[in-house]
Amino acid sequence: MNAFARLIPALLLAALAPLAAGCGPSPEAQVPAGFAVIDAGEEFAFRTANSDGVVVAVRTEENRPAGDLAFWASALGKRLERRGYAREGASRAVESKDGAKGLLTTFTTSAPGRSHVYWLGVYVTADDVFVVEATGDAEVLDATTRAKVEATIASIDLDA
Amino acid sequence: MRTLHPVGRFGRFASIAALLAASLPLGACSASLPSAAPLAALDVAREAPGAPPAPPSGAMIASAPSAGAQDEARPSAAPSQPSLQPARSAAQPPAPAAAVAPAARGAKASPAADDRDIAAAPLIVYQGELAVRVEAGKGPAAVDSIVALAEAAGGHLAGRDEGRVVVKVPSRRFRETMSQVDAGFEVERRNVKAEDVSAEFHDLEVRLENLRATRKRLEQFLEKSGTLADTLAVERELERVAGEIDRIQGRLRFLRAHTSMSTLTVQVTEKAKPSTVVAATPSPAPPPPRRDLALPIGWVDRVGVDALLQVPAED
Repeated sequence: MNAFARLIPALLLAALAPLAAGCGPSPEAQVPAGFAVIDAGEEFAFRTANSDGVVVAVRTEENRPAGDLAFWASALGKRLERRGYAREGASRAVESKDGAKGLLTTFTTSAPGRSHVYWLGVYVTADDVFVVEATGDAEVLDATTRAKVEATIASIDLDA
Repeated sequence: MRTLHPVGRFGRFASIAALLAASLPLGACSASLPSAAPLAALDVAREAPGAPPAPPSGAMIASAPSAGAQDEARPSAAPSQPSLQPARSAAQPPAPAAAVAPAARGAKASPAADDRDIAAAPLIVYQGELAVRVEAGKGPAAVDSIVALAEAAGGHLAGRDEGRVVVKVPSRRFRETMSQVDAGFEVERRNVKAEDVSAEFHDLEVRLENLRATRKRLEQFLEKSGTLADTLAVERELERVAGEIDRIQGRLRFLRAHTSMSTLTVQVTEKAKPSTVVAATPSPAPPPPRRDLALPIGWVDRVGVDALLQVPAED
C-alpha cells in the first residue's frame, strides 16, 4: 500500500509530463548558415533570422475546420492576395524532412513600403496545419539567400 | 486802254484785267469759278468806265478757251465746249469704270486725254473684303490662286501674311475679280465699299481749265505790258496761277492713280481637320469585390510579412 502510495506522484508526473511539454507539435527546421534562432513569440513555433532581416518561421495551427492541403493552401493564398500580395508563379510541391507533402508559393508585396519577397509553405496533417513562412527585403535577397530560405522550408521536421 | 481807277499797284492790275476782259467775247457760264485773286481783278475791271458791260465773272473765265486762248493741255476740247462738264456729260454717257483705267487707254494717251476720260466716267474707288474658307492644308494654295486671279486681271499683290492676302486690281475689273473669287471659294463674308470721287475730280478739272486760260491771258498781257510795274504785277500773278495749276494737277494725278486700281482683301481660313469621333461608351462599373469564404479563423489574417518581422521585446 505504501509502495503504491509512493508511486502515485510518479504516475501523475508521468501523465502530466506531455502537458507540461506543450499542447501541440513542435516542428523544427534546419537553421541555415548566417541565421540565428530568435524569439518565436506566441505566434510561431520556430523562428530564425539573419542580420539582414530575412526571417523564416513556422506556425502550427489546429486543423479546424478540418481541411486538406489544397484547402489550406488555397485559403491562405487567397487571403494574402486580397491584402495585395502578388503570386510569383504557380505553387510548387514540397516535401518535409519527415515526408509530409506540402505546397510552396512565392509572393511579392510592397505592403511595408518596400518590396518584399514572401514564401508560404503549407503542410497539413489530420490534426494540424503547419505554415512555414519566410520573408526578406527584395534588395538583400540574392540567389544564395533565396536558396537557403527554400532549403530551410524543405527541412522542416513536423514530428520533431 | 486806260482806266480811271486810282493809281498804284492795284490800279494798274485792274487796268490789266480790264484789257483782258475787253479783249474776250462773252461766253457761257461755267459751273466753277477761278481762284479768288483773278476773280477780284476781273471784277474791278468790269466796273471800269469804258469797259463793255460784263457778264458775271465766272462766265468770263469759262468763256476764255472758246475765245481762242489756246490751252496746251486741252487743244481740242475747249473750243467746242462752252461749259466743260455738261458738254462732256452729254457727249459721253457715263461709261463703266473699265473705260477709265489707264491700262485700257494705252501708253500713248496724254495727260489731258486722261483727264477727259476720267471725267467722263464715275470715278469710284473700290475696296472689297472677302472671307473665304478652304479645306485644311489648302490655305497657301488658295492665297496663291487669288494672287494669280489678280495678276490675270492686270493687278498685283499688295500684301500677304498668315492667311490674309491683299491684291490691287484695275477698277474696271474689280467686280469681275470679286466674282471669280466668289465662285472659286466658299465665301463666308463679303464687304464692298465704293467711294465716288467724281465731284471732286470734275471740280478740280474745271478749275484747272480756268487757271490755264488765265495764265494764257496773263502771258499775252505780259508781252504787251509797257511799264516795269505792270510787268512785275503780271509776273507775280503768273507765278501764283502756275502754283495753283501745279497743285491741282498733283491732286488730279493722285485721284487718277487712286481710282485706276482698287483693293481687294481676302482672308483665307482653313477648315479644321476632320477627326474621327468615337462615341464614349461608358465602361461598366467594376464589380464589387469577390466574396470569399469568411473563415472565422483569426490566425489566417495574421499570416504575412508583418507578423514575421515583429519580434517581441525581450524582458
